[in-house]
This record gives sequence, structure tokens and C-alpha cells, in this order.
Amino acid sequence: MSEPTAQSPRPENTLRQLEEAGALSHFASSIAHEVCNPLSQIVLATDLLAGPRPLNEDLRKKITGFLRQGADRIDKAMKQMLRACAPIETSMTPENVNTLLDDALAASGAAAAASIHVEKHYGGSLPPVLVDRQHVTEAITHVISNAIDAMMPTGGTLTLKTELKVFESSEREGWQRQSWFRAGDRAVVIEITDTGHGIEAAKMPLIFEPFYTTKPAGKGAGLGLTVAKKIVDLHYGRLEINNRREGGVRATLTLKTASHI
Amino acid sequence: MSETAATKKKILLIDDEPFITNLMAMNLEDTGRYEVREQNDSLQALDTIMDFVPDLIVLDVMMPDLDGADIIYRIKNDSRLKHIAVVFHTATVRDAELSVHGGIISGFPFLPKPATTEQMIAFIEKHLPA
Ligand SMILES: Nc1ncnc2c1ncn2[C@@H]1O[C@H](COP(=O)(O)OP(=O)(O)OP(=O)(O)O)[C@@H](O)[C@H]1O
Ligand SMILES: [Mg+2]
Repeated sequence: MSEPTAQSPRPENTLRQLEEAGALSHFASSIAHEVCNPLSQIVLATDLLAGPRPLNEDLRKKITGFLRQGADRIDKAMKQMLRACAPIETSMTPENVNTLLDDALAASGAAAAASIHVEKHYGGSLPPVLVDRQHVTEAITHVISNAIDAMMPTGGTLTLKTELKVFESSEREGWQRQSWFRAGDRAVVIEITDTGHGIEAAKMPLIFEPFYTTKPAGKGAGLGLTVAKKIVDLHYGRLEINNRREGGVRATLTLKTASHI
Repeated sequence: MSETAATKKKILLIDDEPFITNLMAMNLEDTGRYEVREQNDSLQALDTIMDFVPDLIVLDVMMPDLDGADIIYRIKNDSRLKHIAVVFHTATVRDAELSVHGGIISGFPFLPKPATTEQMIAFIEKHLPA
């Protein structure tokens, strides 16, 4: 399991890459937004309490409401953030990716959406992957949910494809051991494509960042891909998201097969 | 202490969070010095500005639909509105954030959230046109 030290993850390097992509400052400003707005509410409510306005029952209720709601919002933001950063416990079992995809599809509600046409191109007799079934299903569900969101309300086609891939040469991204594949490695590749609005090129470096969302408040927390990536990393797999030339997005999830973990 | 309606300065608060504008409005009104109006829907901000003709606008940056940069751009490109003083009230006062908005915001004064009512009043007074 242990790699030579030269290949182990280098957090400081990863941090620098994030900073260069503007992602760290995005993370900081997202947290600032999630915390400073309710904080502002709390400060202003205490000012009102200390101010000249006579404190009748109505005002008292209103102020306690402002204070409570502000505190709850900060609490929620912190819990979401901690959840996104918390370690994940895994229990690995050999699984068929086609089954995982079907479970994720059902969980995302895609099959139920009338305007979404689902196309499946599943590879036959794929070798099993050794994964935490619940977590990997969750990761795929996040990706499918994004695909559906991007196609709504007009609708579109969601294509799910699985196939076996044998690496001809070794591949890795940056310093991350997680996405390191060696020549001869066998992996199962899951492709999830949509015909939605795609992702603005300048925003690509941000999509895995916690709290990055283009969805309205209350709709998206901006944590789906953060969690999905974290789960995939835990499995030493790879999750890539790209715009398609034809429009829409292609998500590619690569997981090593059981015999290679 | 309270001033007559004619001498009260008109302040417009534009922020997508109604709780914040509501609290700011009550705190500012309690000084007896300001006539305050709130707008939580950025798409209606321009209409409200035309209608209310404020002396000063306190503007949030991150809002759905039109953000603070879009709104200031429209104000400053409208000969009827460009004299109005605008200050930003925002949680995210960062260089990175400014450049994201095409640098349009960078020339305007910022009041970081959270600000107390006292800080807010001092800031407003400093930027109100004479
Ligand atoms: N298939 C896709 N098509 C278009 N945009 C996408 C797609 N997948 C992700 N994105 C963009 O990436 C952003 C971040 O996605 P992520 O799943 O992390 O958060 P979210 O979907 O906004 O919120 P959450 O998943 O927490 O409900 C989305 O808001 C969206 O702008
Ligand atoms: Mg999502």
C-alpha cells in the first residue's frame, strides 16, 4: 500500500495549486458569506435590543427570532463544512458498477423525471470493483443529480456508459497518489454524460471546491462534487468533469478493479 | 431630536436577505435621521431607485439575478441616477472577489459585514452627499 515518499501527496503543493486556481480565496469568501450574513443579523438584532425602541411582546418575539435564525444558520454552515471535511469510514466489498449505477440513478430520481431520457450502454461481464458500496453510490448520485439539474427544466438525455479499461502506460495527476494508475492496471470506467448547459470554462477549477455553486440559495449547497471527489479519492479512483464539444458535460469515474487494489 | 421629513436623508437598502435589511431599517429609523426603504429583489432594484430617489444606496454584492456589480454599472450609466452615492455592504471584501466582478466595484467604499449600527451610521454619514 505504501508508496515511495517522492510520490506521496504533498499538501502544500496541492494548496498552492488551489490558490493559483483562485479556489482557496473562493473557499474563504464562501465561508465568509455563510457566516458573516447571519452574524450581521445577530449584531443588528442586539443593536435593536439596546436601542430606543420600546420592547413590546411583538418586538421581543421578532428579535429573538432574528437571533435564533442567525445562530441556526451559522450552526448549519459549520456542520455542512465539517461534514465535507470529515474523515469517511469505509467498508469494502466487491461490487458490480452497473448495479451501483442503477442504484444511484434510482436515488437521484432521474428515472422518474419525464423530461429526462435515460440511455444505458453498460458493458457486459465487467470485473467487480472493491468499494464501499454506500459511499460510491452516493458519489455517483451527486454526479447524476448535477447532470439532471443542468438539463432542467427543458429536459434532455442522460447517458450512462460502463466499460473495462486496461492502462497502457502509467498515469497520474500532479502529486496525488489517489489518481495514480500504472501500466497494466485494469479499471472500470463509468461515463455519465448530459445534454445540459455545461460549465463556464473559467469556473472549471472551482467545481470541486466546497460551497461552490451556481444554483439558487436553498437549492444547492455546493458540496455534491466535493463529497464525490473525496469518496473517489478514498478509493484511489479518478473523477474527471469536462465539457463536451457537442454541449453538456461528461463525468468520467475510473475505479481500479478488485484484483488491483 | 427627530428631523422633519423634508430634511431626513433617504437611504435605500438593497440586499437579498430581508432579515438584514429589516434590522438595518429599524436601527437607522430609530435615529430619527433617515427615511429608509428596503428592496430584497435585485431585479426590482432599478425601479425602486427611480421611484424613491435615495440620497445614498447601501448595496449587497452577492445576490441572485443581478449582483451588486450589475446594479452599480446600471446606476453609473444612467444620467438620472449617477449622482446617487453608493456604498457596498458585504461579507466578502477581498481582492479576488473584486477582480471577479471585473474591477467595477473596486472604486466604491465598502462596509464589511458584520457591522454594528454605530459603524453603519458613521459610514453612511461619511459618504452622504452634502
Ligand atoms: N453536469 C453539470 N452541468 C453543468 N454544471 C455542472 C454540472 N455538474 C456540476 N456543475 C456545476 O458545478 C457546481 C458545483 O456542483 P456541486 O455538485 O458541487 O454543487 P451543487 O450541485 O451546486 O450543490 P449540491 O450538490 O450541494 O446540492 C454546480 O453548482 C454547477 O454550476
Ligand atoms: Mg450537486
